[in-house]
Amino acid sequence: MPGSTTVQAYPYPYQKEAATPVSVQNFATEVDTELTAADVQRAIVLNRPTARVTRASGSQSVPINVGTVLTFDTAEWDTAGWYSAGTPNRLTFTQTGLYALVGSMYALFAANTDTYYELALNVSATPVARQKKRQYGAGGVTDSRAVAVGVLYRITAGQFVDLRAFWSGSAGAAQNITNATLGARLVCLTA
Amino acid sequence: VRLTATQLIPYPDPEDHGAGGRQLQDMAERLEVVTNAVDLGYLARQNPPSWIARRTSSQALLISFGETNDIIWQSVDVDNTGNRAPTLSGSNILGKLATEGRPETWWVGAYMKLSAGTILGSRRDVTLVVESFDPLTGSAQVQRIPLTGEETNSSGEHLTVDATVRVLTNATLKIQVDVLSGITVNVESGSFCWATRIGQE
Repeated sequence: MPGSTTVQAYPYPYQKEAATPVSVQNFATEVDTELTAADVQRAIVLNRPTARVTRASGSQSVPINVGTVLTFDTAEWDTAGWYSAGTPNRLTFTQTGLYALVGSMYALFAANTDTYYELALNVSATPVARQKKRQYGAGGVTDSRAVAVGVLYRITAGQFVDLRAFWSGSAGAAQNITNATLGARLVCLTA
Repeated sequence: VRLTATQLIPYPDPEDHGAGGRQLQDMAERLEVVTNAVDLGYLARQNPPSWIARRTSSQALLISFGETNDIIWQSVDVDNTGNRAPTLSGSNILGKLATEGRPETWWVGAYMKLSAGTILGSRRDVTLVVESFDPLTGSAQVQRIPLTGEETNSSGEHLTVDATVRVLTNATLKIQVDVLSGITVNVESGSFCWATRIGQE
């Protein structure tokens, strides 16, 4: 009786039979099927879903001591449709997995006293990681007000990620946030 | 019987006057090995070994001049690494990288939610420590990678740090914090660490 291999099921005829055109065709067809499936897997490996959105124009006002979710107006790339202009403050994921999440922002105006800038990375509105930076504004000394945060985090399908900016100090007008970015990449499908 | 040069797939010699069932079976069995290895390779790359561990309660970081505090990780959120990672519960080990005989590159990091300090100007240095051994000499090797040196503030600190490391052999990773001045602080519940393999040579 004709046989087949155990895993890929490549068919072959009786050992003492001649290889007929049909048996060779069946063999070739199965090899074709396996290689096509391998191509699909290769594409998954090479082209992980990824996106980065930015605030490309204008600035966003963040009042003192009020956590403010940042909005983005441009998708620099978005291979899986995570960004929607209707909800411009988030990336919403369709696959469960482990994701590399990165956010950054830059505050435009100097503060007038010691100030703390904080950027929170939220998963479905719950902060999961933050970065906090102290800036010395007194005496005319102005440090960088750029803040970035990045983590590996487990996301389930339907959850979204967003960024919340916060700043505190003794007093001051609202800060304007420019050049904010939010990026994500699927790292691992099992989680 | 002859073999292809790279994948060693057998085929009849020209003097065999055409292939029989036996030759086709030999070819099928060799192709099975080759394509199965390809499938397993893609599967492994789709799901690189990764883990996430966290603190579920506060841990005090004490001031001790010239000494460091290892962060103790208490529970594992994610671990798809099989036997690659140890049980992290109650361990100061961020992760144990069991390489597969080839150099590997990993992305590791931690988010540390620290309790509020009361003394402005107190500082802490955070260091990633990679302990491995040289396979040629058998001697231990320790890499210390500075991640950040932060000044405290009066309303709590939030530090997110990360680094990539390349290891030649099995290695152990730790996150250490050196409280340089100020007061004792706590690493709060919700702090977590991660590691994932991003390359294999």
